[in-house]
Amino acid sequence: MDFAVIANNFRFLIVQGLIGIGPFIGGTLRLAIPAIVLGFVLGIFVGLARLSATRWIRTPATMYVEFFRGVPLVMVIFWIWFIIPQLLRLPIPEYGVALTAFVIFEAAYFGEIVRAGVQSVARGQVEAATALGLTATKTMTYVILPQALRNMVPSLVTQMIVLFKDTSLASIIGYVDLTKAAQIVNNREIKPFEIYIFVAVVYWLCTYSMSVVARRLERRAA
Amino acid sequence: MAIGLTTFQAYRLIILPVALRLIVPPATNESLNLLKNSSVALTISVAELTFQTRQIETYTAKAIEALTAGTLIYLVLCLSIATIMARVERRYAIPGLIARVEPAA
Repeated sequence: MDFAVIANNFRFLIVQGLIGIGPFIGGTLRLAIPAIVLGFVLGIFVGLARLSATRWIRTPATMYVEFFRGVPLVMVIFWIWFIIPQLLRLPIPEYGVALTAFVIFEAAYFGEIVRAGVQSVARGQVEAATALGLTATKTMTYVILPQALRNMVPSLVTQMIVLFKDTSLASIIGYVDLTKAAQIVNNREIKPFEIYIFVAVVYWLCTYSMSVVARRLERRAA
Repeated sequence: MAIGLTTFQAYRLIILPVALRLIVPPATNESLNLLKNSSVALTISVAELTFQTRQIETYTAKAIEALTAGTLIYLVLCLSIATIMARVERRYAIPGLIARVEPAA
């Protein structure tokens, strides 16, 4: 075991691989954070659409969710990687491909979480809001969503951690995230044990701190 | 225990039959996840479905056709497993226990 290899390549692994500042457009965090935010926002719409009383909104949303939950993420990444440039006749950088794939894939999962959260709000709350004369939109934004979000926190965090770990799949299309950076360093140094142990520790630190923050958030919001 | 079952009998006759039925939905979920995650094996060149799809795409340069085929196979596999397991769940539901409480929206 010779961990000097980590010290020598620390800058490349962390600054380029994890954060995404450097010669390559890359970075695990630079992909994960927008993917989580945009995926969640789109997921709210998907989840609410699945609960809509109008069939024209509900059916496409259900098909969307069923489709993306039945297809592996790698497949979605390849779809966007091969198809969109052909259709639009312009090259899309790895970052755009990866971000698009993660957002539309994760929106299906976030949508299911939102749906479950909204359904967990007691029916009496909706009836009370209607009795108070709130419109449907106001009922949703002021009464249902604040309560639903609280119920959703645990499963949301789980999904965010899953998404964070899934960003390592972006390395298969050449996106320089932490995993790809580790591969690059390993190809040069041939020290797989040290490098992949280090990468595993970095991933673990990120996900563990996410769950610690979430636990604190849960206690405060409960 | 009160009716004189040994620990082994209690597990075989009481606990396992109930537990196995209760875990059907999460177990289905997890196996579907496993099926989809098997596609990650292509990163180390295991010749699985996604890998073969890539191969076809590489040889024929017909990306849309190859990817459609691969995606459809995954979809059919997942949806049929989900349908079969939903039927199993209903068939072996424990009488008197409401398996799925549909909360009012």
